[in-house]
Amino acid sequence: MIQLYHVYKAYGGEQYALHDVTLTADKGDFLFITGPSGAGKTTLLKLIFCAEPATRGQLLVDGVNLQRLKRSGVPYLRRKIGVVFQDFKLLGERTVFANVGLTLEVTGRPRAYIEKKVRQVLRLVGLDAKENHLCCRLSGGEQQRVAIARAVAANPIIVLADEPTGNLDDEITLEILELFREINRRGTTVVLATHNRELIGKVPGAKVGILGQGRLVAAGVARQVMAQRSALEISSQGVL
Amino acid sequence: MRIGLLGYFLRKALGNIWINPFLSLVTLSTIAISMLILGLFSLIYLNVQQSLQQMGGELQITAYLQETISPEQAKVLRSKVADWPEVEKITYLSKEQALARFRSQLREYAGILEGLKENPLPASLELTLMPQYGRSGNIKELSTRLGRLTGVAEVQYGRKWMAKLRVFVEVMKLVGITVGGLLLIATIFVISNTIRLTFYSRREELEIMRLVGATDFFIKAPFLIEGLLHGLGGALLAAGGLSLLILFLFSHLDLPLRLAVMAGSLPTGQLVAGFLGLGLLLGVLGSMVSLRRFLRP
Repeated sequence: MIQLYHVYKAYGGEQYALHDVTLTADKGDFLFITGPSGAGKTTLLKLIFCAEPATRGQLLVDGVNLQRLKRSGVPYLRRKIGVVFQDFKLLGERTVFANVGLTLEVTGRPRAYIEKKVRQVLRLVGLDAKENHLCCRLSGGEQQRVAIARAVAANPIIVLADEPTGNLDDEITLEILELFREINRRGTTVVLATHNRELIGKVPGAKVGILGQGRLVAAGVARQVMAQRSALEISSQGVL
Repeated sequence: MRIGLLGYFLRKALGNIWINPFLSLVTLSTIAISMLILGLFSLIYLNVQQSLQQMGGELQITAYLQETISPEQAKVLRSKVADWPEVEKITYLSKEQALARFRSQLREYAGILEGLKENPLPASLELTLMPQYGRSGNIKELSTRLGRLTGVAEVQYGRKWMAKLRVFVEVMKLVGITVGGLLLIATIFVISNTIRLTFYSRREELEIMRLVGATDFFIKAPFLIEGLLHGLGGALLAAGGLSLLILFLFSHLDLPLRLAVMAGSLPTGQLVAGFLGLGLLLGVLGSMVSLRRFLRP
């Protein structure tokens, strides 16, 4: 579903935000991208939904080579990918309904379909009672739910989420994570970037890619990778 | 394009206009005033041009004949010139007829002619030209040709004032094109600026639309329609304004200008259609100038 082969991303000069990253997520995978701030998590997601081009390497999303994708093809690729942005990117002065419906509007869907679908996804995220509320009046957790509802409204095959629980308390974090698991159970590939490693253990069968200073430090099945990392950390402490 | 989608774009365009109604009003007025000025120029130009053509048709060339030419020879000359394609009408005026006409023109002063021992006026041929040959170049060429004929002493026509009037019309045309062109460019700039401001006020939404998969066309279409509506609205205002102005001229001004206005094209269906077409074109061009700049990758 998502394949990265020796991907580099530089923002001018020799400093790489991503350096030789090779990573794969198959259909239905739940992939965590983790690492400290500035490790390249957001950059990786940006490359996947064509917000930025890679400097070098090959990226394939649903069989489409992004390096060869023309500008006119980008919107159609983006319709296959739902994105939950770190800063939500909601229109504060618009209603919950309008924000979620926007994804369907841009594909030219008829009004009746949009109404039905928006209510369906708002039920999924537990906001069906607040469809007429302005987004700026909602709590952080609720705004995050609106962002998730918008990301899944157009039935994407991939959902990317950038630090979706960054500013939320533990209880809400778990609720949001559960939402992503539900989306994943319905067959959607989920890629979730987070610096919170505790989350990874809460999704059985998830995969993980650990980034450090733009390089892929480790990748594989989350439980195995995290166990190896823990062992490494313990042994290095023992040596000290 | 589906009807539903067109309705969506139209709603969005009207929403854009509603974001800043004052700005939209200023834009509409600017377009209307520019087009009104352009319309006035065109109308005056068309009127003068048409009047000139009419005068050209009525223009007479007079060929004065030599004293030695007998009336019979003059008639032969007349039938020869009458066959020229440029000539609509030709009249032979004998020496006697010329004197009689001069006498009637002098009226109460005709007595001064009594002392003449002989008739000093020459016989002449008076030519009226076909309207399509009324241009200055044609007249000059024709009079030269006429002057070369045996028996013709001198050829006269109203060359000087005609040429002056034509120069005036040409200058007016040039000024009209220059001023009109500048006004149209300014109008495109005003529309483009309005679209740019709307674009700025909606940039957050447009950015999100792009991120969730909107095509460039989907983003552009409402702005194109917004420009189109501005152009169309301005054109309608201008057409209405011009009609009112002409009605005013008809009812308040003296005959010469009234005649001139009547001679030209009134803002009938054709002029209104021209205005609307121009308005649409300006609207689309204005929008495109802005959108090209803002939708660069």
